[in-house]
This record gives sequence, C-alpha cells and structure tokens, in this order.
Amino acid sequence: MQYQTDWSVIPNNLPLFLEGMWLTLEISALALLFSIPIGILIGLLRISRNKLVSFLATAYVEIMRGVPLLVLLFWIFFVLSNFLRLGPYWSAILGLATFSGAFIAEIVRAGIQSVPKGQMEAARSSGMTSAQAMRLIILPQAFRKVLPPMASQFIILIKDSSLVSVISVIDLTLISKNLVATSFRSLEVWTFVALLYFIMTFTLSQIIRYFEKKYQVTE
Amino acid sequence: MMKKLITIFLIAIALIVAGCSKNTSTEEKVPSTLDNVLKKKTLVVGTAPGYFPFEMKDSKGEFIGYDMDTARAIGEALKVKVEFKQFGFDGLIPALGTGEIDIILAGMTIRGDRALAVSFANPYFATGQVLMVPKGDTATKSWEDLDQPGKKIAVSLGTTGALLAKQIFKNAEIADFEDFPAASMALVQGQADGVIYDEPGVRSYEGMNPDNVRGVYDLISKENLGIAVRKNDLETVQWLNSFLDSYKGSPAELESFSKWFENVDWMDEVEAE
Repeated sequence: MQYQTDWSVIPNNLPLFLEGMWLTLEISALALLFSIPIGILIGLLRISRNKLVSFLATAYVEIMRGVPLLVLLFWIFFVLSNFLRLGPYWSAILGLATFSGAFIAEIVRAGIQSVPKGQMEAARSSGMTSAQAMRLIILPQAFRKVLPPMASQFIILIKDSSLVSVISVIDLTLISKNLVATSFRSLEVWTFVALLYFIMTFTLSQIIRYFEKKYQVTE
Repeated sequence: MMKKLITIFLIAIALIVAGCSKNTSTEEKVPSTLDNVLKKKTLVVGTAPGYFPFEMKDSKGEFIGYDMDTARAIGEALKVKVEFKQFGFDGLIPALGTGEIDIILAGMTIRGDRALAVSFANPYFATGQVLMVPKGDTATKSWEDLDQPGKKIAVSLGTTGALLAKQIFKNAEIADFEDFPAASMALVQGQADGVIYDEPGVRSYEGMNPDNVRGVYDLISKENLGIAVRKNDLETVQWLNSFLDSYKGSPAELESFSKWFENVDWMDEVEAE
C-alpha cells in the first residue's frame, strides 16, 4: 500500500487541536480534583472496623473496577440522565472521577496498610487519639509511599479522558475524529494526537517527579 | 540525563516523520482491487451497521440490509466469498486506504471531498437529509425552528448529516456521536433536541420507535449513495458500474428493495437496540 502522506492538515488545524487539548486538560483536571477526595474517603472507609461501612466501600471499588469506563460513561450519560439532568460535560467528569476514585482508594488503602503497625501503637501509647495518630503519623508516611502509583493513576486518567469523546464531549480525541472524517488524513492526525497526549502525560509525570524529590526522606 | 532522553525522543520522532513522508512521485499502476479479489477469491466489504435499512445486524449477528444484499450480489457475480468488516462510519475511508477492506458499501453519500480520497462507482440510491425530533415535540415544523441558542442537534460523526448540520445551524449546538443509534438515543433521552440524518434511516427508526420520535420529512438536502473503492482504481469502478446497470431493476434487486423499503417486517429480525 502506498499511502501518500500530507502533513498540512496539522498546521492548518492547529487552533482546533489546541482547543481540544485544552478541554482534555480541563476535564482531566476537574475529574482529578473530585477523584482525590473520593479516593481518600473510600480508601479510609475500606479499612474501617465497621463491617457494613467497609463492605459498602469495597463494593464501590469492585463495581467501579469491574466495569469498563466506556460502559460507565454511556450508563451515566444515557441512563442516569433520566433522573439527573447531566450534560455531556458533567457526565464525563462524573464518570472519570468516580472511576478513577476507585483506583485511588485502593492506592490509599495499600499506602496506609504499608505503614508498620508499630507506628500506630507508638503514637497511641504517646497519648494520641487514633484520629490524631492517623493524621499526624500514619498519613504523612503513607503519602510518600503512594506518590508513584498516584502519578501513574493521574496519567491513566488523562489517557482515559479520550473516551469521553463518545458522549459528544469535544475533547482532543473527538476533534481528531472529526478531522479524520473530513480530511481522511488518519495517519497524520493520529500520529500528531499521540504526540500531544504524550506531551501532556510526560509534563505531568515531570511535575510529580519534582514533588517526589521534594518529599524524599534523605537516607 | 533528562536532556539526553528528550533529544533522543525528538530525533526518533523526526526519523518517524521523515520515514513516513517518502512520496512516491512516479506514476505506478495501482493494482486493481478487482484482480486481487478474483485472485484471493474473497471480497472484503467495509460497512458500518446501524444505518437502517441499508446495513444492520440481526439477532444472530449476521449483516443484513439493502446494501448487504447488494454486496452479496456482487460476490455472486464475481463468484467469490463475501466477508464483512465492521467499522465506525468515520473509520471506513481510512480502512480502505490501508487496504483492510476492498470496497465500502455503507450508504455512503457521493461527495467531492470524499472523492479526493476514494473513487465512487455510479450512484445506486438517491436519498436526502431530514430532521428527527422527539415525539413530545409537536411544534417543530422544520429545522429552522430548532436553530436557536440552547438547542442541541445530535449527529453521527463523519456523516453527511453531520457536515450539513454544521453548515446550516447558526445558533444551535451540534453534538457528535459515534453512530446514528447513539445520536438517536441521545434524542430519546432528552440529551438532544433534534437529529439530522438520511431519510431512510430516520423512517426506519421511527418505524421501530413510533412512541419516542417523529421524522420531519421535508428533504433538507438531496444526495446520491455510491460504492467506494480505492482512489483511481478505474478498472474496479468500471466493473461496478456495469454490475449496477445490470443489478438495478433485476428480480433480485426488486425483491431486496421491497423487503427493506416497502414494509417493516424485517424490524423483528434486527438486533434489539
């Protein structure tokens, strides 16, 4: 097959690409913002001593992990919309945040459980309440441990956001689909889009690396 | 270290781009699809099910519809096996370009911009774009009534209806969906106020969902559907034209036409949406 390449489609539509990239970043950032509190809350509930609470939190995590994001987005947009009037934009953010929140919850739980039991015992015996011990002793130690997996999760979130194009959110992916549909330059457009996504995720991973260094315990 | 990595990465990208942009300037004879199909005894047809009643899948997952009958008739005429490959409508032309499929039979409108990327045989069907609105909307008489700020028009990505909607609607917002069923679903669920799509598709959808939608059947634009092959494959285009001249109006085609367009009995066979 000889496919004649023609890269002019990229500079000719640069403003469109940037617009889509901006919306992708906006949706990812908002979803991230909501998914962190969801994740921390569910993660803490997972290790609660109350059987019912931990069961519910576990059920949430299992359901979210067991359903493809695409299906979840469709479900929120087409089914939930019968009860909740969410447009594509908020459906996308809700879907990404609840989905990503489940993964963050697992990371948070693993992080807390990785702090040795002795730390809690020592904190409790020095007269702290268990909430204080959690806040001042356990969570700061867990925080350092969860940074790398959290970073991966944030990157996955940006990549997952490409799926919101199916519920008519005009993100980078939908802009590109539209351009391919009108210009038929699939190789050029998708190569460039892959590069744009990489730029976004790579920048994010560099930012997180900076924080990792900052909070590193000097051995 | 980081700088080095970035440099290596950029060089790699540059090499990839350079490698891709080798232009074959010499006029090579494009190997005709017809020869290839006859040689491998298989015709691979690219289509996008969900365009009633042209291409659909029945409850057994079989491809059915007017276009699919035409594809099978082509296979019979060439004495080859017909294999269907399913794509999103906007993925069809790229798939033809990369050789994944031999022809496109997907209710594709013959258009100038598409003809720059593929070559069309003569039209096999004349149709047009119409508006579909929710059943509850009894006020809308034409597409102009919906052209107001705050109104949303759902379309199927890459279709003629999508392009047309983007041209004619000045104030309403256009929302792109993967296919016609998804756009219609958005309409039924109250996520959109109208859908712009081909008339036969809208008629079938209304036939299947009379309680949910209503078609407004004044043609907004007229168009012709055509079979697409790889660009400048004139030999195949020529053969398809001859085939269509003999097929249109033949007993097989008349039977197919009446089955899909003159009644709605087939709706029971279609995959439940």
